[in-house]
Amino acid sequence: MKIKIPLIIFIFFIAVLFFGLFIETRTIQSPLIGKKLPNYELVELNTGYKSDIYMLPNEPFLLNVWASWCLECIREHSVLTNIAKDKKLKIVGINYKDERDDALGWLSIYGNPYLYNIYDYTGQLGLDLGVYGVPETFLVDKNKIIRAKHIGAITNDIYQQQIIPMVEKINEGN
Amino acid sequence: MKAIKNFIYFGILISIIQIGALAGAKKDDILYNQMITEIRCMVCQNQNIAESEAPLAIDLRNKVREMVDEGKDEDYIKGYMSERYSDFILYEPSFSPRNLILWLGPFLFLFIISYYFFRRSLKK
Amino acid sequence: MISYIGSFIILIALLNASLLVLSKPILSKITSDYDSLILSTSKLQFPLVLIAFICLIVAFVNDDFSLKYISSNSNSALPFFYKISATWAGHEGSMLLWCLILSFWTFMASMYSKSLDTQFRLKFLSIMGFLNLGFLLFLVFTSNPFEKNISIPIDGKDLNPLLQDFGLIIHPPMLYMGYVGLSVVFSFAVTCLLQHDFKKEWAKWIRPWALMSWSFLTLGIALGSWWAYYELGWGGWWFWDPVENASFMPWLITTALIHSLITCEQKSMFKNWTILLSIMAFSLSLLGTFLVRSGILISVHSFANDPARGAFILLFLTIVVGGSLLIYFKNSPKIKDNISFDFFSRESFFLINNILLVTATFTILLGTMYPLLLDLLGLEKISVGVPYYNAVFLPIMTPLALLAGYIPILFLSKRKDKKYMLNHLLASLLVVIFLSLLSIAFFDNFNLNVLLGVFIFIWISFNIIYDLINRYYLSKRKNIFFTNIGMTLAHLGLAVFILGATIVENNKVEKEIVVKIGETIEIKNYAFKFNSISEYDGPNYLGVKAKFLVYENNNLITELYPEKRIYASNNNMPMTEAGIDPGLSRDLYITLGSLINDDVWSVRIYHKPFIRLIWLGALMMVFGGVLSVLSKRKSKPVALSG
Repeated sequence: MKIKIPLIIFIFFIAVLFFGLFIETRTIQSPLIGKKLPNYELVELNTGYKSDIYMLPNEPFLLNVWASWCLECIREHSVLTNIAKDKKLKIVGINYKDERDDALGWLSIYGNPYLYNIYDYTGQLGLDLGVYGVPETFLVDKNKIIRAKHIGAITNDIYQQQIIPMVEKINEGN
Repeated sequence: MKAIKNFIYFGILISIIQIGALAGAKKDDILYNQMITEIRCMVCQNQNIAESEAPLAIDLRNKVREMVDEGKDEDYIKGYMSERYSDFILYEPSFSPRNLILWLGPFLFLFIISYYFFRRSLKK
Repeated sequence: MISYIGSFIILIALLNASLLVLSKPILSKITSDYDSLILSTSKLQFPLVLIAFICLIVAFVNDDFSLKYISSNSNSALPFFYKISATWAGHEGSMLLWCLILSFWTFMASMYSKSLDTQFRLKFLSIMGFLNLGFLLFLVFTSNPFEKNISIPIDGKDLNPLLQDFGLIIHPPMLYMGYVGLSVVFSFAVTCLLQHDFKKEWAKWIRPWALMSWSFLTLGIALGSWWAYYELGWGGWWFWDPVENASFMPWLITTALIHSLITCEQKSMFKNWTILLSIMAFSLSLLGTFLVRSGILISVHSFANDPARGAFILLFLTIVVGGSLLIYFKNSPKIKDNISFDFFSRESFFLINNILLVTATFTILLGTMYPLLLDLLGLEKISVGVPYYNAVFLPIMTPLALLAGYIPILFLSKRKDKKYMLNHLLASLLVVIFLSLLSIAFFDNFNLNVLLGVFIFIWISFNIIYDLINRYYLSKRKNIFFTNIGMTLAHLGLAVFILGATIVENNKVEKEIVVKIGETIEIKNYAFKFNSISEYDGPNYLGVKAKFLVYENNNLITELYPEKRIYASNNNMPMTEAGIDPGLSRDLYITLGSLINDDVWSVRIYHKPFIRLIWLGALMMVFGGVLSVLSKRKSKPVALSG
């Protein structure tokens, strides 16, 4: 009896450390998943027209946060271009804390896979979305509920193996 | 003995004045400085936003300043941050059932080992 | 070439360590003189590892980029001294340093253990050998600093700029001296368990080792805190970072241990408890190694993340800690341990000291591990930081600090009755409260915390110094002054530390401000004039240096040069070099933030009152610890010292 309790505690402790070795410690689950997108009143990047939550697509879509100063975004861009070509999902961009000219120039160099871009110059929308590491991508359904979030660049694998099945699930649910 | 009593009264008096003064001053700057040390910089390894020069930390500092200037209180600011960035952003874990062991564990531990040792070893 | 010698010597050291571990029946077949074999191999370990270590230093100095470790931690442009210190700046090299220090302690243990009986001594050294073997295996299999690059790069990647610093050169060796010194205490405790006994003389023998480890740990932690203060550019001195916690936990337990050893030695009580503390102290130092080197926790100081390393240390930790705990639970009932005392006795208060220190350790362990636990359970991630420790750790430590000032009163009254003690207590309380209230006049931001800090400072110093003087006059042996000065100094150090920490945390002034060249910022009675800013080329970086003129009451007192440095090796991330004007009563601390435009910069200026007391207090503890060791040796020259 006397030895059992310390032994259990010790084994438990070692187990925690052991399994701790294999968990990803860096990514933090967003508390916004399952919640509605926050309201915003911003402008469209290119045209300068008013842009708000009601203008978003009426179907599941990707909301991709990017900036011209973000190096990872260049790497991600070819993947986004493929997704756009695939025509299964629309992508709305949030241009985050950027200069308009830089952003437009960047799009003309690398191509524009976005349906349109919300211009978040102050970063307030990014803050409301809990953005901390550009690029970040949200999967939003037609009711404007955030279903998933990915921090860092999207890869083809992530698109094929995680995003597509999730979109199918969302579509089936409706 | 009278001298001791007087000292104690004097001490209590001083304390009350101090608490009063502190409560009065716990506005703008104090709240701002406290908040920025209790909010974690999400992009850094382990720093608060007061310590970090990362762009996000600067943004969040400005946001805190803005909210403090609007007269928002500590709970509001913390709620604002954790709603968007999860509880991970707060260096003070909430006192919730999930964190009960964290908050009460040490005192429980203290009680158990004190009881164990003193019951065993005190002369009857 | 030199790297091959290094690798070869490491293998020899590995073989040598395995000889130490092999049991007597096996070894007796090889040699007729088992005893002297153990004694000489335990001494040989140190020179072997030393040669390997020197090989690595030489390779660093010669820019031998054919070695993976060197090409990723050095660069031909790196200044000479940093090339040497880079030897232990990365994971592999610091592990070699760890092995070196372990072999050094083994050497010392072998040299100075002649007074122990032979059976005991041999077992003890074998256990030390086992630890040597474990760490060498870890070095060879997961972190070999002599590993070759497949293709030799032209130049190295350079040393992490944060680590190009004097503080770093001495911080890890001191800390490791402490961490690893605990292996002596651990091996000793396990040997006691194997022998089913823990004699008074043994307690006396092991205490200097515990004290030395404790002093080194204190020094290492203090150096780390000092380094973080001036190098990280936040002006903070303690962050409750997981890695800091990892070093603080063994410190707390060792503090408990050096107190419980006194009771062990003088009253022959708490033997099993002391043994358990010894095991825990080293176990926590192993745990610290695991936490730092597996990358399991998010920390500012983690080494590169590598699950294989983590898994190896965890395995080793399981064997060492699990094994020793099993032996403990099996054998400790056989060690006679009569614990019985009055509540108002020294033993009782030493026990309270121990209970509080162990609880404090538990708190830190819980705070460090809890986020990981939640994460594993799939619950939301949380952070445990300063507010938690302020709320939980400080209330546990405050009674401990009060106790440090109370114990002397208890000593004094041992011969006298309770009434005498009570009078004495009241008298000293009265004096201390009076002095504390007097001190209010000196603070412009005074609150209850400061009052408590000042009270504790005066309470401990008053009673401790009074106690020392009193003992001196009461005792017939005049060398009592010498034997107690270490203890007195260490406790005074604690008081000074508490004073400094309380004042700086409650009275510091911080200003984050945007400033243009020519403008002046005022803080308290200081004015900081932003005079100029210039660019320059460092040996392996580009720097921007600002010049601030500092006036105190309108008199120029100093010039400060905060810098930003860009190291190409560090992805062009700017590093901050603070400009600091140190002083006993206050530090002035400036860091450059970011360039707003042309001549406009954001800067941060700090006024940190009495922050130096934090490290002064720690140094007093270190010297106190060392003096205690020296005085012990001097006061008992014959029987036990080697």
